[in-house]
Amino acid sequence: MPLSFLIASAVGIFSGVKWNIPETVTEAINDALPVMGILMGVGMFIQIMTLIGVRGFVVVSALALPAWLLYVGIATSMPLFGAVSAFGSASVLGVPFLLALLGRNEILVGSALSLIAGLGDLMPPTALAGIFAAQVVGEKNYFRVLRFCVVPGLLTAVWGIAVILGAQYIAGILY
Amino acid sequence: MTIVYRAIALFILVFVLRCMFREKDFWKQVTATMVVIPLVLRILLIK
Amino acid sequence: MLSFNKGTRASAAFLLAFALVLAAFTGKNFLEMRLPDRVVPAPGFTSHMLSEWFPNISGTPVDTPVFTQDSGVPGGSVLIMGGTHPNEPAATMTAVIFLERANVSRGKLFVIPFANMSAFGHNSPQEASPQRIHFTLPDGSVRSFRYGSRATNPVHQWPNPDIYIHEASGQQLSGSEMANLNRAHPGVEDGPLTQRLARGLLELLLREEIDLAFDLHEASPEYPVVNAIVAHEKSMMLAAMVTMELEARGVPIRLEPSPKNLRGLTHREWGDATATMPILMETGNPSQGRLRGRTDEDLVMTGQDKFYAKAAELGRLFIPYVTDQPMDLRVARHTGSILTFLETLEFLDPEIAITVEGVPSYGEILEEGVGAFLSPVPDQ
Repeated sequence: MPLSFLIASAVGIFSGVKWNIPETVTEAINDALPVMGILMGVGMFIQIMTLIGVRGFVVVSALALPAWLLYVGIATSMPLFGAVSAFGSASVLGVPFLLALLGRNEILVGSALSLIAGLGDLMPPTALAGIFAAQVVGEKNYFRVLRFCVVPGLLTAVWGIAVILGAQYIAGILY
Repeated sequence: MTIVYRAIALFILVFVLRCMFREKDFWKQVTATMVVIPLVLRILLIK
Repeated sequence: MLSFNKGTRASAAFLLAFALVLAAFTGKNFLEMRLPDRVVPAPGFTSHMLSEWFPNISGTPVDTPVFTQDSGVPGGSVLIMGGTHPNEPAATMTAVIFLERANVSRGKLFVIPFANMSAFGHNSPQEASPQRIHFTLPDGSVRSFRYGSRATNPVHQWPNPDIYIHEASGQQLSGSEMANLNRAHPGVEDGPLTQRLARGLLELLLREEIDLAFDLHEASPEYPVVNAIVAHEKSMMLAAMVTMELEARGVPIRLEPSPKNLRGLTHREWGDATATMPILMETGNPSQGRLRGRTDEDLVMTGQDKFYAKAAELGRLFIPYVTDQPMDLRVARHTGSILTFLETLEFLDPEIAITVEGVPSYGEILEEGVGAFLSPVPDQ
């Protein structure tokens, strides 16, 4: 991925448009700083959560849900934890959920959990996907972007749970 | 390869510092400060 | 004047100075973690570096001490390796116990307590791991050992690719696994550091014609492969006999065959590439699990965690867990299992057996604790 960005940037140099390199780079870094700050903050937050045990509390609380509520728990807790970090959600919650669902086709279950974890990038306050999208289109208020993501997000969560529930059936078709 | 990596990190650090010294909002300067710490540690290959 | 509303060059300079002070303070702490742990080898051990068998890692952060004790009496050769994953401290401590206690009266013993030295020098981000664990000895002195990371230090090996392709098999794994020593075997002669380290270990096995090799690990209690022996086909007969013996002695343990389609691990690659019988052993470690609560040295040493107790009630764990999983128990399991393997090897194939005395038994470690069997460090 860095190579893709590098090639795209290099091609941009030959676009014919005159540009001031230091100012452009400064502006790019300036735009990226809030996101870098969020990532720093999220990392520190997860470190503290792990240190004091909140991480374990969240995970075991989700695992303690009755069987019929487990899927609701997956569809809600993983995106909600993504408000901190979608990557964190996949690692902190995704792995215990995968272990709790052993016996179904683990590849499909893991894929579905990854899909649901990805929804975490739409969750405020971090909402990295929303923030980036808003930056790209020049929209200052990223909630206006997120508003359009609600229905697709819900459908994605439902689809992910459906894949988990039907993992054995789908595996039978695919393999 | 490592020297290229450190050069990239140094490049980013220089421009983060440029942004920090030009910034008129104190709390955005604090954000830049947070970003400077891991960059410095990585350039020096400490962490 | 510093204003919290307005950013000025002065405020930027002040914040930069603050950042540099913090970086200096934390940097000192991070660098201290790279100082090697001290060990006190028992008489008879000679100290080497792995680069003596594989010069490609000489002078690199992954070159690691190898301790050998040759009895001079014909017999087999056995390797005990801990520290593949430095966040699995019972594995390291078991190797240290053998290093500081073993008296080999037949055959040859090789001990590598800190397999991935680079990984000992840092902690994994967002894991809130303690940096050190401490043991109190009978004389009142305290020994400390580092609690490191699962992966090679990124300042030593960077970048990780998006997808890690295991060179020997073409198997694709997540890019971060490139820094995992236990996915790097049999290694690559001129590859990245972790892969070169794996190659160095292979060279040791080949040139010393090691008969039996132990790779010690720990695993999260919620993982299925825990409190387990994983054996290559070559080792399966021996491992099966040991499993039955341990179960008969009241040490619950499961036996897993080494999967042929999971490449890069010692129990597969060492068995395929050498004449060695590889054995990988796991014991349960709550401090590396995902269900854990407060993370600190106490959790590492006692394994007491209310969330793991709750998870056990919910039937989510694969080890018997009531209130704790202490370090003493975990080291005792590994030590007792290795001793049982050596006894059984004597019965199964006397020509390649080795005789090791002086190492505490399972019961002795449980009763007296790991600290009772560590030697005081001279000049401490």
